[in-house]
Amino acid sequence: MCATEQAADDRHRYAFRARNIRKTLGDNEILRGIDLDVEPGEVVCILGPSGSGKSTLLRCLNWLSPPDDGEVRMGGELIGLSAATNHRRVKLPDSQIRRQRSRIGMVFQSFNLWPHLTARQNVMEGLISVQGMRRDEAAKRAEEELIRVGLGNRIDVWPSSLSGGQQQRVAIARALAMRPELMLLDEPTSALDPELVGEVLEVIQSLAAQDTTMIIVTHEIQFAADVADTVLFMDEGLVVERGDARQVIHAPEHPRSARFFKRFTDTQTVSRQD
Amino acid sequence: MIDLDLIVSVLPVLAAGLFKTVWLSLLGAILALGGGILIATGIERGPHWLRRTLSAWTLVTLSLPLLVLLYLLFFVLPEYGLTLSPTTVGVAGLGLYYAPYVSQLLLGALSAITPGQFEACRAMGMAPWRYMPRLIVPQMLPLLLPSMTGLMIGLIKDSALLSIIAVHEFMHAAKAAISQTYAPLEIYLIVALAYWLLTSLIDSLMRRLERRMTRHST
Repeated sequence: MCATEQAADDRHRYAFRARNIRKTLGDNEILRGIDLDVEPGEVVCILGPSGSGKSTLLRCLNWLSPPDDGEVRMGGELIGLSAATNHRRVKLPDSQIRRQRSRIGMVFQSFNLWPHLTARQNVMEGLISVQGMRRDEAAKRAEEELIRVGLGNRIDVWPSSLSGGQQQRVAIARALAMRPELMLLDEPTSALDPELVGEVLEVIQSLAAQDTTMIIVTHEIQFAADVADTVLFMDEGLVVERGDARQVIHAPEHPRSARFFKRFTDTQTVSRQD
Repeated sequence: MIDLDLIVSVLPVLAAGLFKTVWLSLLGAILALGGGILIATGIERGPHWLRRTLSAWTLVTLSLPLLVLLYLLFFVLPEYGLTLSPTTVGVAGLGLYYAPYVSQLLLGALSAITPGQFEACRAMGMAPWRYMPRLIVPQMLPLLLPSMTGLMIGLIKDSALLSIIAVHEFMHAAKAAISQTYAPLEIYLIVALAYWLLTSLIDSLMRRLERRMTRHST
């Protein structure tokens, strides 16, 4: 699937671009003007303390929770709003927003597998319902995707018989099967026991190696340093610092990010001393 | 002294009444289910005014005894030009009475589904008419079955009240049998046994259904 070139801005071809994303929930201004660019094949990790708005941001990007202000473009196409808008926000019809969402894959912290369907059926469901694929074709693709994430021997198993790490891998396969242009991962390993984190990170790493465009919200700073091209550090609804992953994590410029990453780099130094 | 021949002679009358009871209960249950779904959908996804109207109406009907509701439908409606047959009144009464209860169960089961489930469906680009029946309702069913069974049993027992507005169901047949045999004890014992068998049957059926539905969970 190739991205459509933007009419106005044809110097750079962005897979994904968010400008001035604002969102208020109740009395809280959760997002206070976020900009984001992701090129095709790039991996962006969003790091930051709890409550900084990272998960809210992710849900704004696929219009699951529409932002109050700002715009999101995927390959130049405006998401959630009709292109005619300039100073007025006109919502797209629901069917179109859904179609846009089907081009973005999302993986959740709590997996959100459908418990009454087997792993294979979980992966097949979107292919049949949303993409109109034939049942046998969907079953085949589901099998391939599950094998890809290392669950070839768990294809016709209920989620309740799978470990957390296995369930999350099914969730990743479920999102990948739709062949999305972009993958959004919301703290994919935060709900996992430490021993199970590795198997999921491995899968995500292999996706990165295959040039999958991804935006990952995570607490795994070492993982971000290993896998991400760009890191965004968020705090209190704003992007405090952004840049090359290794540089932001190991040599942050802003005092707030320095404070956040100091603890990480400190523990790194400690463990290297023995 | 129990005259067995006398009892046996009225069994056909009782059987007919029992069949009518089952049939009316079924119709009433279907009406209640449909009404409950409509009310729940209106409250959940309707405009604000509809939500408030339905909630208020639910409150009113929940506070009304079924007998009063039946009397209203049977004696009061004709004053306004709407005369319905006893059977229609009976079924309508059962349906109207139980629909709010059904809607409350549905809304309760719906809120028990974790929001993440809906997020997964929506994030994939599914529309509610697609994901509700295939993905959400199957998760609600195990939660609904026990309490719905309770409602169904209550409905069957309440159907006995229909005899008061001259619907020819089981209780009505029982009274006719008693006037023929002058054996109230035996007749009422049979009636009690029949109701018990009926509700036990429903209960065991629902249990089996519940087990089948939850085979995917540990």
